[in-house]
Amino acid sequence: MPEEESLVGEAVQGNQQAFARLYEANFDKIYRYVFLKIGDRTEAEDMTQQVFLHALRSISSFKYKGSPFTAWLFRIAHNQIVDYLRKKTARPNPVELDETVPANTNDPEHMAELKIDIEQLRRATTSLTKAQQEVLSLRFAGGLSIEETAKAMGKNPGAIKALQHAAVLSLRKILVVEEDVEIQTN
Amino acid sequence: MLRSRRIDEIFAECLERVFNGEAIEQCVEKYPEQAEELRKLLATAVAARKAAAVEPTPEFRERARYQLQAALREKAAAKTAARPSFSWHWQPRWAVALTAAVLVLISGSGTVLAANTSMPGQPLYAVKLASEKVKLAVTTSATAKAEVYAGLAERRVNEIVYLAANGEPERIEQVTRNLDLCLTNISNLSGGVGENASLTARNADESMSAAGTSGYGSGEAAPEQDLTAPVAITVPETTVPAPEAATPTTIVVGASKSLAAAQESYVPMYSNDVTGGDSKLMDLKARVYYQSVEYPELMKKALESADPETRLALLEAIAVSQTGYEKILQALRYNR
Repeated sequence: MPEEESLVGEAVQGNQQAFARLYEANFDKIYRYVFLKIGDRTEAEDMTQQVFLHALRSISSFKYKGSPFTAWLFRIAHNQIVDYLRKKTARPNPVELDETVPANTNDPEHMAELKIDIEQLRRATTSLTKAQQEVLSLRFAGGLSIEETAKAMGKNPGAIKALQHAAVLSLRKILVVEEDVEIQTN
Repeated sequence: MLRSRRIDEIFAECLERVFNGEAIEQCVEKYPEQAEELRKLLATAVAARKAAAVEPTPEFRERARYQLQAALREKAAAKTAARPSFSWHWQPRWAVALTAAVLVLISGSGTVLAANTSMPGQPLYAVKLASEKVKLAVTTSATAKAEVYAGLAERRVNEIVYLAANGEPERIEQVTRNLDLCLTNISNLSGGVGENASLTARNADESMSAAGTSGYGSGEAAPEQDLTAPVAITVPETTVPAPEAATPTTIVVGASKSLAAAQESYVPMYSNDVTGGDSKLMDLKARVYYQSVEYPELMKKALESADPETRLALLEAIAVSQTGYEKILQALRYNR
């Protein structure tokens, strides 16, 4: 984190290069977090840009109050998503999978028992509690550590571990049921 | 509750290890009692993480970068506009030039020395340019003037590399025009050594004066190269408008073959070019040869980390430098 602190310090002073580096370091994470939450590629792109433009506008007033920059960024993203979902009444459009580039998963050693895509994951998470959804989004999409997630959510690391465990347990039950249903209908 | 809390901690620890590359089986070995449960949870977490690892499309990534660069420029412009009223930028050109002339004549002037390292956009940059003009004005011989221009070309290239690192394509374009003028003047002066030296030197000064202090003249863009294998870089129109409207642009970069040919046929001072002639001319030739090799490469290295707009401006600067040095080497080759 010392490197991030130093970059943030420079960005707060108006160093554009420093802000650009913070942007590059967090761009993918914010995009994935937003995309998992709202499920619409175009909206996720717009929102990701808005998160960083908002951060750029407000960076000069950012202060380290025990909360890292990344957590602040995700809070901006979270608030934008809340506003978006409040306005949105219709069911989100399904993910256009062929327009989203999946990450390379060619790793036999870590091949998961379950194989799910982003839409299945997003659908499954809607059955979780808000806090469990948030932990999964921050940890698995945003790539935040336990400590960073704790700061972003304003909870202690112990609570995040508990939420994480409960979320994955519930997620597995939902996904296994879905898989069983799929096998039966096929 | 104790067992439940314990499994939270164990799961969190194992998950961290799996995310860092360890195999699931390796992690659960340590906890045989919870192995079965852990295995399923870890597999689910890994699957979820993989599903969530969607990548932004390259088009979106590029579009987002353009927008960010535009926003950064806007913010910088707003900050400049809000600065205190006194600034070298706002003084009349003659006042800046006169001040620089006075300062240059007082040797060891701190302001001029400080200005020497200033970069485009910084407060003392106008002083730097003005002091360069003064230096040119007091240099009379063609060779000496060409040497001064070679030094200025070095400064312009350093400025371009600096601006590339800061993502300032418009300023790169301005500095490139100035670089073009420097190289053209070296070429003209190199071809005009001797009886026409004074005339050529005066003409060179006039063209630099026309470029102005804080701004630059309307230097012509580098001509397209007639190459066997040019590299065309095409920038497609973007749907999100940048501050300057993005239009399809094709820049042909090459000149490396022509420049390389000019370099090969150029006789460096330390081989056969021993005519017992002007040692200053020999120094100039060596210096220009070195610059023709080093400076395009220096700018090419800056391409690696440049954003798309800056890349375009850099490519133009590289093309200008290659063409310019090719002409200089040709002019110097025949000048003994």
